[in-house]
Amino acid sequence: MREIAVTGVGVVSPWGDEPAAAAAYGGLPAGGGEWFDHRVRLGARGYKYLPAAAQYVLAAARAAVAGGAWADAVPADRRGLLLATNAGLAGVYDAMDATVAERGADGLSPALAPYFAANVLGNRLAAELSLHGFALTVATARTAALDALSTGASALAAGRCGALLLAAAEEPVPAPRGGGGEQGAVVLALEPLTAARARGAAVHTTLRARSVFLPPGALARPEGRERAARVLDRVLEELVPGARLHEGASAVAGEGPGVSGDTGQVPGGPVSSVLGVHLDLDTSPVSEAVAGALAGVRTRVGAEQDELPPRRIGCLGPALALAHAVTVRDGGQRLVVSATGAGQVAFVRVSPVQDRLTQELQHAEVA
Amino acid sequence: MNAEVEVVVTGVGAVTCHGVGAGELWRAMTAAGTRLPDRPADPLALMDLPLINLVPDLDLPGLDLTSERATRFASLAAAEALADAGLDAGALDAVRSAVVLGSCMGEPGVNERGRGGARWEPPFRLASALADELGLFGTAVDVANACAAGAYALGVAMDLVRAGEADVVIAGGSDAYSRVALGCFNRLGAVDPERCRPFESDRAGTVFAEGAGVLVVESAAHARARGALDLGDGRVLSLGGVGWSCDGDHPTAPREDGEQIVRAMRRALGEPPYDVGCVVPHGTGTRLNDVLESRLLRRVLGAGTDGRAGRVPLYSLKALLGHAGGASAALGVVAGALILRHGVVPGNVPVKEQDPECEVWLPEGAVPLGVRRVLVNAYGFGGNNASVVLAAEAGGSSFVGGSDA
Repeated sequence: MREIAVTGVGVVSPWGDEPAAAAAYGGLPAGGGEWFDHRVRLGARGYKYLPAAAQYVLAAARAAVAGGAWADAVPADRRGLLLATNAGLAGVYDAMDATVAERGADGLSPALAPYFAANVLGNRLAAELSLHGFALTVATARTAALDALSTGASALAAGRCGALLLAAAEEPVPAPRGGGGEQGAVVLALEPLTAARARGAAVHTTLRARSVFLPPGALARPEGRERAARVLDRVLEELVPGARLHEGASAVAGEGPGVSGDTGQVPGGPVSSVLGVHLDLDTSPVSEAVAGALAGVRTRVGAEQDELPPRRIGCLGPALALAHAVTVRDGGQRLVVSATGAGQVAFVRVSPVQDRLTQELQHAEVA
Repeated sequence: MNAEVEVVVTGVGAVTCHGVGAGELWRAMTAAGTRLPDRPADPLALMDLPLINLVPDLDLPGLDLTSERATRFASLAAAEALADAGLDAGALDAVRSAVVLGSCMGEPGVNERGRGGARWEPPFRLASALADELGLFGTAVDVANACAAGAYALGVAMDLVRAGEADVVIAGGSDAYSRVALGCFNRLGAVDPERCRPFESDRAGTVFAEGAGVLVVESAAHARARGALDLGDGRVLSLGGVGWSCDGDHPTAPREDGEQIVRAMRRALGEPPYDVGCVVPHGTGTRLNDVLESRLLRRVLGAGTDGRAGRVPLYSLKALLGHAGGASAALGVVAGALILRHGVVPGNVPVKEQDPECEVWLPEGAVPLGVRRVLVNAYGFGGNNASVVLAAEAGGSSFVGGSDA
């Protein structure tokens, strides 16, 4: 059970909550001013003392499960939460460190004190939607949201839950600590395709995720690079069988920033070989190896190189790219790829699904 | 996912406030001495009770509060676990081997004043550092489930093996001194001024600790193919089940009805009867948690935990080590492995006066292990609950496939 159906998407971003617009900014924080009012987005009372990232993730989750069908699909004990964050609480943590170091621990806010632990960022969400199956927090730098999908697929397969929310949330790093980072949240409502169809949910896309590691130390040696290439080839063959180019053919190149909806044709290949690729890479040897492997994959839109933000702190950029890929619905497959110099490499294939209800409707029209 | 795939633990490694190595841990367990907490050499730790059980630096040159302590602890524990498993890191199938490490704080020092650099850095990088050190190409996942992180990491590892995505997973947890975490526990009034004293009448909170527990989690088929199951010395153990649940309630206090804690325990234990020979409880020394866990152990295991009936002994590990945060559950499983291998439950660190509300059996002298299964509990902020069951007779007929599926 590695293929997961997406039944809801929620995005909260300073650049708007429409996935394409938000993804175009790649998680870039707001330049200034108040863009998120918790009283308007969440309710008049009870949210003031939540850290900002916890507020974003609540609002995104409500959007992802709007209508209540996802929550009603399985009992509370079968609902799981995958939380992904890197710097979602960095500002809170830094402020608490300043308080302890300058005034003493007595000056800490008791309401914020539990947030020294990153996973508490998802506590209110788990409470509000009764996510009692489990709450697993993945904090791997940059790839956390995509890695969490692989872990979530295993958890579904292991029977730990019947439905999942993937929630990624970030908040900028304070300026005195270097600034940068990302801002906003993405939540995807997920469940097995058969389960979603059984309850009559509209399913437009499924996801299949795979994360691997390329040890930077090994990439310094030719045999390490060769092994990395074999690992990446195997992953690509598993995710997009048939998409590898035959030797001597050339890939469609391109590095246009932003989001493309081009639907050009691919010569001579099955549907599975059609790919739009979102690349979230840096300048490391790890990313170089990933780019090399993807150069051999047929793409019908230029690989989208994520160039925002300049300092890649946070896991939101890849999560936004995923939210966008899920909602494009142009009939094509997409691949969201993220890699870091530390060695993390994550792939998520986004595949269109012709919903059974849509199929039945089309058949009825033909009849 | 194939629930028929037996998952085994072939090696263990530990770094604790008693020193480096599972051997040192076992010596401390059998000595059952009282260890008073340290005061870290951190002039910015402005708090009433800057108490923590630090890993001693006698054998670890360069280990100060500005070094990447959690990364180093994980590396040391992993090296020991691999050697214990009879696996040479260089001989591992790098593509079929993965790393999953849990931590509450990651590498916190890099982002605390006077300890790290000026720029904020992602603190959760323990798994990638270890995977790079070992040259592994499988996935490397950092799990941040607070004080239950090590148990969640073991669950992820188990799922990876059962799904056929890895043959070997280096899994566990590691945590090191964090000024912010200790300051927050001071602010929450959750630090005992004396030491970590779970289940004592006048306990007043917990005392943090540093450390790492790492296990080699492997498919039984892989272990058998390399001859690890042929030794017949009982060193290889079965990872019987890992149960997770979430209270979805208060950020720090457990749900009073304990339903989710019970569910995690039962899932890890599989089908009834829930026979175990020992429990390594979460038991942190905080007032509410110890009472609740005692009550729920009785609910799941029957009245046997209090010494009157089935006599299921508890081994209260945090009384010996302190609370090692995201490493604590992994250390609990390492301790469980040592108990299974030795066939004996060491005597607990003596309790001055046991809380009558905590009706559990804390033997002060060593007792032979009866049923060769150990239950390890772990609970974290955010209502993150987990239980792990480790059993002897790995690769034998006692394995009941599907207990965790």
